[in-house]
Amino acid sequence: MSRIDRLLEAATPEVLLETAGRLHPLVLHLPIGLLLLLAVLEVPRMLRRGAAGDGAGGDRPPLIRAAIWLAALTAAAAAFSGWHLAESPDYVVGRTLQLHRWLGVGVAAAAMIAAVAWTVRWTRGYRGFLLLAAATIIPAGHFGGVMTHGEGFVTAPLRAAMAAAAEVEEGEPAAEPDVEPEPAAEGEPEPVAPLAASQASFALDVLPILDARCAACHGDRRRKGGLGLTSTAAIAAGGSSGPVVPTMPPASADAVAEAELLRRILLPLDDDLHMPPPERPQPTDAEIAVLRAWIAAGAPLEATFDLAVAVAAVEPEPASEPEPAAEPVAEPEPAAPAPAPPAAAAIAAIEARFATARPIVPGRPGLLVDLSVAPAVLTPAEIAGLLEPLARSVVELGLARTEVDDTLATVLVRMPFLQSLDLRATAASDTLIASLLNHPRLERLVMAETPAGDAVLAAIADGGMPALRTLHLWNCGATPEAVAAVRAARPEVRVIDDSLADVEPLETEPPITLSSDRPLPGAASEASEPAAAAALRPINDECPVGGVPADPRFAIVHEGRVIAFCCPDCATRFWADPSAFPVTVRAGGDSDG
Amino acid sequence: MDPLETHTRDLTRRRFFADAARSMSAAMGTFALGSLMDPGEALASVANLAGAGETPGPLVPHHRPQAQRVIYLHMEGAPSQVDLWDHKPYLRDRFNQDLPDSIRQGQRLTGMTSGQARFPVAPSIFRFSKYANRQDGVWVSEIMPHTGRVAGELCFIHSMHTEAINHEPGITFFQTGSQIPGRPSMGAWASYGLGSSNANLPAFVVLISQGFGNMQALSARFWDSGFLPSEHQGVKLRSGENAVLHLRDPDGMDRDTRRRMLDLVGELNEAEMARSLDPEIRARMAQYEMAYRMQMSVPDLTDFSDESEETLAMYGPEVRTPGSFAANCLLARRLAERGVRFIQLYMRGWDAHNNLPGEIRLQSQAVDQPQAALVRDLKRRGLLDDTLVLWAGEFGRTVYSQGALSESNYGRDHHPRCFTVWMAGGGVKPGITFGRTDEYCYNVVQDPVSVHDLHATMLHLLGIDHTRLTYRHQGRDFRLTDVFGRVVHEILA
Repeated sequence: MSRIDRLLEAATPEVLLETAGRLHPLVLHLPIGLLLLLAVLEVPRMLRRGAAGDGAGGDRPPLIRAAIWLAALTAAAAAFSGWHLAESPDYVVGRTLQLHRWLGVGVAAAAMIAAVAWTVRWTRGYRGFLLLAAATIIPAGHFGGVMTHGEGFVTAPLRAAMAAAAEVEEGEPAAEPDVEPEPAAEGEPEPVAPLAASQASFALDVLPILDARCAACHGDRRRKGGLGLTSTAAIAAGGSSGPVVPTMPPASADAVAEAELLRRILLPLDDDLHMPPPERPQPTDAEIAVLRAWIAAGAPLEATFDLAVAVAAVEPEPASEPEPAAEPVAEPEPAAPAPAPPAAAAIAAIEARFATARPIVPGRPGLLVDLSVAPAVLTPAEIAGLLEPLARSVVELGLARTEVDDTLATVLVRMPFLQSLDLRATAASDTLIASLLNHPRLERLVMAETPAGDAVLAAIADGGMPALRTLHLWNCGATPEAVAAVRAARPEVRVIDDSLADVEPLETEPPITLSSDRPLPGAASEASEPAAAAALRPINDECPVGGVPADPRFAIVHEGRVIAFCCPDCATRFWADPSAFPVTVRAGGDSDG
Repeated sequence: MDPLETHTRDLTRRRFFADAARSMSAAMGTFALGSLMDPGEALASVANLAGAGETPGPLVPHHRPQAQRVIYLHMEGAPSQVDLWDHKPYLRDRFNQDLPDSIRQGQRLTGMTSGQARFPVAPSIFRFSKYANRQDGVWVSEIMPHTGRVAGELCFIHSMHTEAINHEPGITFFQTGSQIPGRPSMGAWASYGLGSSNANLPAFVVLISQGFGNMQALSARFWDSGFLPSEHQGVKLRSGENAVLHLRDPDGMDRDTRRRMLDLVGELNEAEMARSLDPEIRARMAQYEMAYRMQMSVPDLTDFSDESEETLAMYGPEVRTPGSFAANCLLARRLAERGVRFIQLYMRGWDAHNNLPGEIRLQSQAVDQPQAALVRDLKRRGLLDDTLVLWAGEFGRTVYSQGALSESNYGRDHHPRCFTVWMAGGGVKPGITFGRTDEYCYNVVQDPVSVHDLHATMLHLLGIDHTRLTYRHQGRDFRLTDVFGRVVHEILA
């Protein structure tokens, strides 16, 4: 088959349309120049002839006829190609694109009518539609530019200079929503937290770098190569050629540098695949270090990571094969991020067993999986099989009252994001739990009512499970000495057994005696009524807070004294801090009592 | 099932006319949307078209939940905060004095005491003991000794107040956020927002214990789903031999026969659904299937034979009496560990208008050991980390005596202005007290917490923004907290 034949065969309508779409940047500038030029030329002609110039005569330079037709046809070509360019996965069909699209179509239509009007000598129509096309092309071009260069591209240097002059607080300019910091980044303060702060998070430390260096082409409006880098869902989805960051801590420094995101950045500047493109601002060494630490920690999107750790050597079994859960989804939708298809199938499998698997927060990575609600029907092999495809997504795992055995360890160690593990009332052994001793993120472990005990507690006391904060030990296999040893060695861990069993009161009131200024009913005469009222008369005339005359309606009883205030607010303030407001006792206050 | 087909089939009459009124393009957009949604979501969103509402679906929880479930111990009849939790030793020297007008401030009273000539102060005759907590200790009445021992886990709110002064509106307000009947119960909201974690049991379960004192009516609308779809209403488990009536297959019917019968009834229901387009048919079918699964799950749930002697003893001797508060507390723990979202217990008999000391002694004896055991049991099993326990009546009781006052007997009327509730677990600060009342235990003087605030806080702990969990009904968006509610961040861990 000849080369020509192959070409003809490959040139399906879809391919041709996509090729046409890519001509958009080529053809779009011609109508802009021509239409604006024609509009400028037309203004003096209009002034000279006035509104009456609608006659058939007058000078009709042939150049204008050529120019308006060329403008109309190229505008139509630009609209046509642009329409198909927008279909490519590089672009997100959002408000900006829609505005650009329809304004562009409007320009093409107006220019075409103007050309026809010129040809049929309808001068007024020609002028009207020409000016309309010229006026429309300005916002159309603006929105096109916003998509290509990011918002505020032209004015960015000006604003950066103004910001510098105004000495705006560090980091603030990058946080303004309408500023796309990318083009002016060189003149801006570093958006990166200093490396001294060892704990870092995706949102605070990584995302600003991606926003500054990558978002212009891999952001919300544009996704070159199908890749978005400004939302967790888009990052998890990867680009059209696959994932760009690992989902588990890589095994070595080399493997870290192999992560697509970092590999592209580290390529030589003249390499075709180097990112960001050489004409764009490049990330600083400090920023690259943050990205390196983030990827070394397995690119966590929620959990924090340690900037000081360049390579995590914590995982006993580095998984070398590509991770299926990170396969790109077909069309990343920022509004409704869906779990990747394999995960959806795995979740459905768990739900089919009447157990729970769902995102902890919808739209965010991180699953809660609870198999405890369907106990005794799942075999250990089934449990492992259900969990295996979700291993990289599980953050909270409930296995209470299920049938687990030591084979589950192979699945548990492949859950890098696991924060909470409930093994209560299972046969979980020391061996099984010990497989997690090096886990960097496990914060909560329930081993109540398991046979596991002293061996694993000794390892925890020695610093195993460094992130551990809550440890449930009631009725496990451990001896009281081992429990005491963990408590002593790891004061930051809340060790819970059954300590509520032997609490006793600190003190108890003496036997109660009731007293009163008044005798009991029946023995009393009605005449004693005023005495009680007097006993409850406020001791003060002046509000201790407001300093104005007090109103007996707003009185409280404090330390056995009835104190009146001018308003309920003053009483509340007094109650909050009685010592701040000395009470002036009425002179002779008890005289009528 | 094809979502578009489902969607078309669930077209109600109202929906049909509404769509016809819209422009053609809008209607096409609706169908396009229907086909884009994944089947589960499409099913969920069409489940309540009759109410023209949308399920919150994939948007809830709004943030990471601290609590996965709630155990709500409702003390029906309103226990006396003065005799149980809110320690007012000063009152002992004011026995039988008149309550100052400056304290009562002309507050409205119920018809039961508004005719009284005087309002004599009735101090509690119970001794209080101080128990250690994370602050400088908390005083608890001598008739709640077991609860005192778990005070290190409890968050007492002494500054609750409510708007209702009688039981029906008071309980309705606590359960639904409105004094007027008809709104969905809190458990129904939780079920609607978060769904169930266990497909074999309902998301909202109700357990009732009879008390010893004056008992008020307890109607099923307290756990109704209101305008929410019917499947969110609370399911009451009975205390007798059959926790759910008619759940057991009749003699001679085996499980296969039951399955075949359900399949056939299901086909008939599908046909009726296709004809009448009534979404309630789908709710009914779901309930049939739930009942079929509950035939297996409920006997396992209510059979305490797998509990250790030590555990049973901890809940007290009444635990072996089905329907007792002790048995229901243990059942609540078993429901919690099976992933039931909202477990509502009612303990009746707290309405002590007369003879309060005698009645409250019996009531407390019935609840004290079981509720303390529940907190302790949840804690040691690790369940308290994500289970929120709430202990609350519908209002408080007056410091003044209703009827005759003597050194050994008194009664107390309803008091909405201040009362005490406590919470435990589920992201609430353990071992604290919050809010203060005046020395007559009559008005809140610091950090008032309204019922709406309590609801907002509980939803917050469940991962729900109370302003965003809404349901459209009769043309407006309803929420549990109406237009009120503040999350009490001060008590969050």
